Amino acid sequence: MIKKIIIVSILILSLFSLLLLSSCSSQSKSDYSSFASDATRQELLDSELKDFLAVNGGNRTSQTKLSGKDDLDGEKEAARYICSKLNEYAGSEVAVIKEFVATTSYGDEFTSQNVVLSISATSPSASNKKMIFGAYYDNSYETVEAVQSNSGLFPFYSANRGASYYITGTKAEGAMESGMSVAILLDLARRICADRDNLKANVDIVFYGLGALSEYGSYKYSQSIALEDILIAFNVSQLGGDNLYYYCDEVSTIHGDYINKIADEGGMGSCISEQKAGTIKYAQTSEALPYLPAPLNNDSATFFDSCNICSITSGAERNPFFFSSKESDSHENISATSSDSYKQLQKYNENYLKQMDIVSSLLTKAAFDEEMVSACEESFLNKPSYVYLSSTLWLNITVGVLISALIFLVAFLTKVIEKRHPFNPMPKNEKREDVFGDGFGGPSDGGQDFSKGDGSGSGEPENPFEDFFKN
Amino acid sequence: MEETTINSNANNPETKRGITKLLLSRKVPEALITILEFFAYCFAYWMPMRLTVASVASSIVASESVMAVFGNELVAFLLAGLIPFIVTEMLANITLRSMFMFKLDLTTMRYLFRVFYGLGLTISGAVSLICFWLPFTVLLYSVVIRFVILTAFMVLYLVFTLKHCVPPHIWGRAMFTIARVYLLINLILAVIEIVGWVMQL
Repeated sequence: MIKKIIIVSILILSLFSLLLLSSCSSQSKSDYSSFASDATRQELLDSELKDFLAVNGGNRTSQTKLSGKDDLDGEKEAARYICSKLNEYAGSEVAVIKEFVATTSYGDEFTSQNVVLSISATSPSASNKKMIFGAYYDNSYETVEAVQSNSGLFPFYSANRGASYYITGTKAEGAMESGMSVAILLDLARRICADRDNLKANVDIVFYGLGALSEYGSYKYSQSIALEDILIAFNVSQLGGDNLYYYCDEVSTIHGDYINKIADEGGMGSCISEQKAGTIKYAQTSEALPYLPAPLNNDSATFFDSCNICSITSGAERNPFFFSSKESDSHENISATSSDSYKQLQKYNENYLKQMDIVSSLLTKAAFDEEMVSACEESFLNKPSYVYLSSTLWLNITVGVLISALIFLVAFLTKVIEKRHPFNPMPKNEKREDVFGDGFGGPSDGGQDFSKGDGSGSGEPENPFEDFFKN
Repeated sequence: MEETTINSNANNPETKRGITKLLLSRKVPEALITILEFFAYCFAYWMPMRLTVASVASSIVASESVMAVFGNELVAFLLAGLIPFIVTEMLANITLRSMFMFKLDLTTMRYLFRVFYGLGLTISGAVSLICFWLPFTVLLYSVVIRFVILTAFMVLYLVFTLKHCVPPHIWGRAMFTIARVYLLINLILAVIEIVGWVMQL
């Protein structure tokens, strides 16, 4: 008995060891010390960040005003600020605010807006296709209540249950979500506008509305453009974490490899690394894939099916859903809390300016690199499709057809077997057993013959109802 | 389960050799086989469950420490095997009991089912490790690949059981009974998934 217990224990322990080993694989760690930082650029980026976070007192909350009403909410104020900055860098009124109406699952309608700066490449050798650089700009500063859910068919129920909220306000400026990303894109706009003659493709710099809770802004923007003309959609979100990552696809891609080459050439190779599928540990379900990898948990998911993407984000070493190892180890809460502020960012991450500089430099290099265009075009031609792999319907139909075929096969085999070996629950050569002491067999087996009342087992069978009919 | 035997030496372990003898004599205790079978279930259903646990953990409003306790690999692993293990055990028992009138060695048949199905689950669990490198194959694995591997091991189980535990005059009926239940349950699950998909439209 002890031997058995020992065997079972060893088996269980080895299984758990295997599990632990498999879960201990870690992501690449960023080493910012090797990056030759530009102090002037970092000052510019810092001031861009501080100015943006100060807009409307840090309140950039969307959905605070229902559609059709006076909708001067914090998000709109921020959109106006971004638009004015873009026009300042472009030198003319080229940036536009594109409004749209979003209907929530509760039935509430909100107006929001994307801010778009379109820059055409003027060089004769430039591609006529487009690169998109995007980031969302709103935050979760204020609490936003779901109006319809509290005044619908069951107001008493709703009143008893308490109100529903789209956003639970944090009163934080959202430095990491997503102030840093906006500051980087504003810096990128300045750099591109200053050297637009050398652009290798047309560029759209887009600031998505309603990004704090959903991808509605990027979805509306994707509907307004021809997706086949997109070379690549870059997205920057959730910076300020321990390590910088970029993600292109579940498998290696040509454009992903080329971005890696650009990073290496720019001395950023050890600061930012590609997040490969095998390193993605935490995921949830989505429509594009059977799950949602952490770096696709943002506006880049909108473009994932249709064109090349590159999602630039940051995260903890062991779990990219968290900003830092402190957060993943439960020592701090940063994401979507009051800690997501400029002051806390300085405290949490001493390399945040380097991070911004690295991302801005990487995006600028990509926009001005001729080979990047051809890499994107080639990559698009080889883009893997996950349609069948993600379709529950087709996979289950496949299995359904397979099972139906197997059922017919089993029925056919049963017929064949029963033809060779006819079914007989009581074969002759088996000894039949007594039931309640009376044998099934005839008198020769010592059993009783029920066919004749005298038990002799011969003659015609008796009619058991004979007496009944006589009477 | 009540043990009944036919008047045949078809399953007499003394007349067999090697693995066949080991299986028919049930040398490895059934309790150990059952425990291993449960871990095989966990292994085979672990990969899809990781996504479910991650999805639940990231959608519920809970503190990071609560998520750390419930949203980890160990919980996903153990939770993965629980429901399939209970359901399959129940269905296997009902199916085998439904053949009591044939007076077969049902205890050995159940033991063999655990061994063969457990092996199938272990193999499919090993195949599922490919999802670490190619995570987008997880749905293909959980819907198609696992079914194909388990079906292959069910065929092996049927061939072995019919040869060693069932007399020829019941082969057709026994095979039809076991295969029918296995295939119909899987067909019903596939139809439920398809109907669920259509309902979402």
